[in-house]
Amino acid sequence: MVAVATVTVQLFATLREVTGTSRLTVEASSVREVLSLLVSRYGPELGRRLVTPAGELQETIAVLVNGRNVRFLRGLETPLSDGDTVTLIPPVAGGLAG
Amino acid sequence: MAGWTGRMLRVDLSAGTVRVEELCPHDLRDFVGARGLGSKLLYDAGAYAVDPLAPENPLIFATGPLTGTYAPSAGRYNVVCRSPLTGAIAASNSGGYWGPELKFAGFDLIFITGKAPSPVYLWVHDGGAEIRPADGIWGKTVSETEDTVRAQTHPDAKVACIGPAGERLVRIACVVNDKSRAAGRSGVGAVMGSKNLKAIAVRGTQGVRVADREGFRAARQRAMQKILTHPVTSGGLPTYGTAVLVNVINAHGAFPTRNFQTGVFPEADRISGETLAREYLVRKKACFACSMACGRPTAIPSGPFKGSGEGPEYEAAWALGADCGVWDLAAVTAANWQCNEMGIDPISYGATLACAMELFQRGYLTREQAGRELRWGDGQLLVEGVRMTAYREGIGNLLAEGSYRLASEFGHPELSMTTKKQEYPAYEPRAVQGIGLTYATSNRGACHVRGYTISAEVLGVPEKLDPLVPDNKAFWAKAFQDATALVDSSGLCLFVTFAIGVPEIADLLAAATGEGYTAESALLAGERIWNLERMFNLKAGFTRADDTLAPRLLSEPMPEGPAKGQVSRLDLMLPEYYRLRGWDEEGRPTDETLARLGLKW
Repeated sequence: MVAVATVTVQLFATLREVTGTSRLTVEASSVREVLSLLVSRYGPELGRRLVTPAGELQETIAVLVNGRNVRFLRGLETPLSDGDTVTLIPPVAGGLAG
Repeated sequence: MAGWTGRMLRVDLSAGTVRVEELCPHDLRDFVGARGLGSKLLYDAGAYAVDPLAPENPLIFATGPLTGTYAPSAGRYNVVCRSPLTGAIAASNSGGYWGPELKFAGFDLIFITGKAPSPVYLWVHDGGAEIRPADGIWGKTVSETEDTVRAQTHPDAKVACIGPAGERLVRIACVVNDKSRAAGRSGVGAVMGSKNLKAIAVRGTQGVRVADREGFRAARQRAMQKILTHPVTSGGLPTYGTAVLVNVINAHGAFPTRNFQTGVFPEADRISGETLAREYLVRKKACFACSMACGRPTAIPSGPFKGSGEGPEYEAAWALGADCGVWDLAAVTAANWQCNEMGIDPISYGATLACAMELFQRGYLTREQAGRELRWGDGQLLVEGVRMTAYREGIGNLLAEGSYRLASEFGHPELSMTTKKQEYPAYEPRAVQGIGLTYATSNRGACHVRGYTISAEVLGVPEKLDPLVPDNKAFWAKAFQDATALVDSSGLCLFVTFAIGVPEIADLLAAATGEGYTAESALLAGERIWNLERMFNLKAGFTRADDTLAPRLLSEPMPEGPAKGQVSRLDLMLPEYYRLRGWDEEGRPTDETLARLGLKW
């Protein structure tokens, strides 16, 4: 039995436009569960942006747990604890060339 | 000759002469253009031995072979000289429309020495140029200068100029073209001011010839296809501009805050690209031949900072915002406009003010010495300070010297967040290991666009690297540095490299110039340029000891956030980097390395 955690989800850039929100609280035990909850709440358009048809994380999306990219943790299976922050980042870029 | 015009203007402001000269074809081929070609001419002139603010320091405005062609985002030029901020080589890169216009006027490059007896501007038009008095223009702000010079020359002239900061030899002054595009870093504006040169107006009506029209069209088409479909260059950048990075970098705990005392700014969202787009963005604005249009004209409709202008972009939003503890986006935006008008680098200005604020916080700089309190988060001070710095008024006279000289003045150089006396940009080396190596080894002093490892370490392009580990970062820093030296020398904007790589750029160069560049030879040119810049700095007196970071980043663990407890592991990365570069333990290129690159001391 995996404990369900209460976590904060942060959304940036275009993901804010798709969902109409920048921050919300959900209950989930893993990153995969967070994504499932978001897709069920905000629909397939968000789902297409986040995961591939095979259910894996889109190459261009970064998911952080407390600021660490889950690719360097346990991917979508990264477990969550109460108070964790999950950050979803769409493809972006930047730096002032000068 | 194709791609290049093969001609340069040699201007001696002391003698008041202008001469058209041919450029050496071997230099063009081997050093490509813009940053590389400018650096070669600067090196050959022995500028490593001159006082940066003396008449002898050459001031070079250089375009690349792709500048002004219809290659994607091919609007760049570089200002090259010895820097009065760092003493190292300076090559500051700008977009807009000025660079292409110089090509249209028939020149790759302008090489300026001497000092005019009284203020002048240079008027370059198809095939020739003249030095004109700038009596009524000296003292004006950037936009006033541009409007006045255009009125005196041609309605379609493009103007690059200095503001009041450059006139007063402010060491963080920039050269601004098209009113809001800046050759921003390393104090190149002060060198222009030291020559009594207020502006260069350019008007040209010729095209840029390419060697293989069909090949160029095809290479351009392949590159555009990638740029128009890549999510960063077709989505993120056009939609939000560079300031979209504010929240992203902050989420990684890599957003330097209050002079790098921490890497987390709780109010980051208030100065983010998302907030800017919602509150103050007027429209998007593109440079020459660019589909990305990351420029951000902005307006504040009411309140104490009411007005309009352009920006801030990411680095400025950070320097003027989090680094000074300011979360009032109106103040940050207005300060950025002031930087544009005064001709000041917003990165170095914000970082220098942040240094002053920490000196004040710790009691090393008193209210009496500063003439006012220097409190974190003071938006009014932030905005007023730009003008004070430009005119060297009050505390502004110290800010005008940059943070290293400021902190040294008050006995605490360790609080200057600089490498080679140039202020760090907006990424924390304790939270992103590779960028620390880039800062430490950047030939123009601390810089993010000399090897943007953030692309791999945070954004995952072209590979996803863990930002917290130092492993393999030497390889990536070198790879980014060499590729970037090529891009900066070609005339393309660095941002295209999110979507295209060295092979596509080599194809464009080959078709434009007919010189047979391959991916290998083009990347080798980038490496050659990097090593030539290094040789310049070594001759200027820099040593291995200068390839370092501020003590805080090496010894004070990050206090909070995802990188809590981390310091920069430059000690592990730097020796590996020297080895990969083919440099000895003192950081000097070996004879074998120089021979491989076709370079000589």
